[in-house]
Amino acid sequence: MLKITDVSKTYGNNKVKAVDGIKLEVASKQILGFIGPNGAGKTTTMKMITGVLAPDAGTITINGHDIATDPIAAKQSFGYVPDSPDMFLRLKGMEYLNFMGDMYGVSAEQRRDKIASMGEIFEMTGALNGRIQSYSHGMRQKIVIMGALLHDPAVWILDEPLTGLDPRSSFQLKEMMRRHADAGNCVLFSTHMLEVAEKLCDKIALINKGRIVFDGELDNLKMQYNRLSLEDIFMEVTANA
Amino acid sequence: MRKCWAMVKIFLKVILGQMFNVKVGSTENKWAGPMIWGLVVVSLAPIAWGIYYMLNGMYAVFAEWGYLNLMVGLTLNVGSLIIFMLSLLTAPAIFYFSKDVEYILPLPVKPAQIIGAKFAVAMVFEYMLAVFLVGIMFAALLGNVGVGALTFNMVLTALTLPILPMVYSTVIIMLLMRFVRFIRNPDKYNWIIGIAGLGLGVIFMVYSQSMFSLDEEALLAMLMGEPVTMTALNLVFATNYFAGLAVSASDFGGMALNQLLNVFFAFVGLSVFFFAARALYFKGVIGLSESNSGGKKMTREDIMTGAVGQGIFRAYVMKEIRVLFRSPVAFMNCVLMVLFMPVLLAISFVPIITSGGDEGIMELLAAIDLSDPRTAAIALVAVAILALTMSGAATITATAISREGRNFFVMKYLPVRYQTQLNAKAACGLTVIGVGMLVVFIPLFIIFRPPVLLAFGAVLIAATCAVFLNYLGLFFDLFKPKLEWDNEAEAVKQNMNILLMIFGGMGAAAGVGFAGWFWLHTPLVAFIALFGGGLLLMGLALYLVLVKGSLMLKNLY
Repeated sequence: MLKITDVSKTYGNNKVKAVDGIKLEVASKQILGFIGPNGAGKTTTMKMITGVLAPDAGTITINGHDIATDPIAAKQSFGYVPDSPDMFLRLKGMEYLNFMGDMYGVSAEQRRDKIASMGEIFEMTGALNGRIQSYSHGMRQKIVIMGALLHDPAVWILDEPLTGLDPRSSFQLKEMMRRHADAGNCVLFSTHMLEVAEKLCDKIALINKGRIVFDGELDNLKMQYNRLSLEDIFMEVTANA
Repeated sequence: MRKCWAMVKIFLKVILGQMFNVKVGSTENKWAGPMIWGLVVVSLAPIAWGIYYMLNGMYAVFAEWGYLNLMVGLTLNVGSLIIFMLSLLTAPAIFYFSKDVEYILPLPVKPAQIIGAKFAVAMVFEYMLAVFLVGIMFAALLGNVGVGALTFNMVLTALTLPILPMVYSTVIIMLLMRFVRFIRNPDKYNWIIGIAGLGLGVIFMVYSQSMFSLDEEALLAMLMGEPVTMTALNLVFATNYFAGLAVSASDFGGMALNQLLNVFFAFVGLSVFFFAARALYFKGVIGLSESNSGGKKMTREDIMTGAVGQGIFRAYVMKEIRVLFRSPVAFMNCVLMVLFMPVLLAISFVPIITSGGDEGIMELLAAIDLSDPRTAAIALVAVAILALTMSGAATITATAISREGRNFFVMKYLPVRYQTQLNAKAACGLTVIGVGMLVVFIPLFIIFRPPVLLAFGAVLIAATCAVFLNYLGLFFDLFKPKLEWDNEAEAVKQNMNILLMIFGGMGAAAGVGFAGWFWLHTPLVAFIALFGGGLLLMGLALYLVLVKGSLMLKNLY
């Protein structure tokens, strides 16, 4: 459903590649945990997938649509939660959701159902009349997640989505991710919470200094490194890379 | 003291860094900040000259009559009022909305040191204004007072002038922040103070117009009559009263005594500030950043009625308008400039028209006959000049990308064509300009009753001018957006695109005026040249934004 082939990115005149010839694939029914140290290239990769940044080389297809040649259809196929939820601060929660619904062409009926159900799941219903500016960090994260998932996209791209969420909302989002993948869709999410990635993900992609150093199932990763936990593997890989 | 000084340096570094370093994209442009400030200085020069010219004459006459102290006191009182009003706008950003107090409170510093550092930083900006005002006064007083005495007086006066206005404004702000909950929101505060400031500005303008119309004798009679406002001002700004007496004192003893009293009252003011700040400041500032989602609680039923859809373009335009109108700094600088300009013009002309005092203007208005071909051509040129000036002042599109800040990337992942998004931003700007033009042109049409064809031509010309400059502003901002900012004011007030837009509008208006004077002598020629030229430029601006600009947006990161 999501395929990244030989993608590279260099910023400005910098000789160091932020992302260096990476390959990734997330198939239907899969959750891919994208992990790596700060500055490894996770956010740059996600920005290239979503069309925010243009890669210097390589191709990215989402649900069969190339983000470079068929951007509107590709963008329509995913829901993206960026790493910072501080956006559209002067809109009210409901105005933001209606705006996102309009941008993605969500019907009034689907919009009502989704807002009502997600509002209950994230305990946001009561706050939708307030301006996003007045929300706490966690509430902003929740409203951005609601806006990204409003059009029921097949591909979820979530950049550290659990940051700032309370335990209940965090649990609910993880459940939603699992259900979404099981329904034949896919999720790509970056996280620094290795125990969450360990429990939730079908696949792990470990990126360091712009290169994918491992991409596969967690069991294979543990066998390859002869370690019991993802944390131990992460420490070893990022120390030696 | 060392800790206090360290805090002052850090606070100043942050604020001055924001003022002087203008970032363009991801690179810092070292010249843009000084250029903006250079332009500010250049544009202030005529104002400074005008004030100097007026004061110089006044001081000479009042010194001759032996009432120099009254005139110096009046000048300082006006300066104090201006500082007071400006500090109401600037001080909250330093004392309350910078959100740095919560990081400083856990550090091992005394509350008085934090308060002192904040006050010192706020004073730096007021001193800039004080030096400007006192500098002009110094120049205007030369010849009336000896240079040595004048230097002594002016140094002390410049040092004390901003203290009392600053004390009053900060105490008022601290009281408001402590006891009026709704004002603790920066947006609401800036709204209220901004609107109040505009209102006071208009009152000040009207009042000063009536003052300027007085000759020296009438002004002296007014000051000697000690009107309530003057007495009140002398009591409130006691330092100015004594500074005025010191400047006009004939002997050193009188001068020194009055300056001593000037400094004494400034110290009294500072003591009041520190006393009030200890009681009020920390209780008001702590918890200011805590969020509380406002608005009426929504229910499931509200969602059923509130979740409604509309077309992509309309939804995008509505989002732009909401964000623009809810941002005080963008509203004041980009929107109100267009809507307020006609009001200011009207205020300037109303006294002349109602009093019938300036017979030249009244005769000119009565002589306008729009059925005359030459006059009709001039009218079309005037419409183009007005439309270009107004569209240049509406800097909505010239800041449309910059105002997105670091969140501009949202534009890139939405499944909406860049052209649609850019057109929506332009439509937002055009809506405001359209309203501004209606405010200006409807009264003009009612007054002058132009023939239908001429009115239609004028509307077409105004529309092409507005679309041209609106899209040109958007292109400027696509070319060099200011995306790195911590405070939205940086994107709006410290943005070179605004100057380009304003001067671009004025330059285009001047070009049209020049062409009108030399070549556009009949309405048909004027219409063909202005509308045809407007269409060409409009087409060029549309091409720049929708073709080149879309590519720029695509490559922006």
